[in-house]
Amino acid sequence: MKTIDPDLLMSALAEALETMAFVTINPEFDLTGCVTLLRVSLAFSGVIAGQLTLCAPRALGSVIAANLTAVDVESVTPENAADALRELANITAGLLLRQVCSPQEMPQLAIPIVSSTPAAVGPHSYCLAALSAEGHPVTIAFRTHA
Amino acid sequence: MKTTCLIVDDSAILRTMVARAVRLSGAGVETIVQAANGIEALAVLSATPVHLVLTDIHMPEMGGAELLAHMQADAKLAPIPVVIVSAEPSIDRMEDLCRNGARGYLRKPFSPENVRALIVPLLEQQHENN
Repeated sequence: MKTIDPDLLMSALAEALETMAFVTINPEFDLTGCVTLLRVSLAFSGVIAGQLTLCAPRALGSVIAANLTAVDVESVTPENAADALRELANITAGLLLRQVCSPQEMPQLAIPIVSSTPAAVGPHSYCLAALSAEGHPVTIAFRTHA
Repeated sequence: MKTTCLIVDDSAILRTMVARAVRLSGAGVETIVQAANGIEALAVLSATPVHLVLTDIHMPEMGGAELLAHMQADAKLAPIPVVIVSAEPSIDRMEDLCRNGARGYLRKPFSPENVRALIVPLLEQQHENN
């Protein structure tokens, strides 16, 4: 498996955001105004095992869900916003693992799990790469188990 | 012949997104029905004539691989083409599913053009067979 650096992580997240959800991204990261973030944890297992963790405000999930389904942001339900972030993590993990794992070591993805985390804790605990999407902060971390 | 497509994914957003991509692809699908997992999909298939199934792999209750196996084991359902739609990183696993009966796969993220290129020939073949 290739070494994962923040640039690789950032590029997989950016590709997922831009190609899946038509969301514009910006390298600046600002948590101002965020009280709670949704945290999506996606475990993977096999020859290489670990977890990808994505944190973002529900508002970004609403933007993505609205773009994916061609509805107004205001009409997106909280469940669908969480669903959109779950899918963002899923697609980012797929893109990332394809870049860093050989076919023989390609892990299996589990079903992503969403939970809430205080903004003051989430990004600092998990952040390895961070960017802004449509003005909303997104952080992503990738770790493998020994 | 009216063409019906079944979209199977545990994410409501993804079902809507795939349905939109199918409509935008111009493949001539008239009716889209949905299911949240393999068990629901089998219930839909037993009650509704379906010409194409687009399914995710990783779902609770029953995933896409198991759904495919159930369909392949049923003489009435086996001829319905199944396309896998997934972020699955392993091409080998996607191709294993094709060896087990799936007629193709779409890797997320995908465009309506990707959808069209894959499903139009399958639907044309279905029309010829019917």
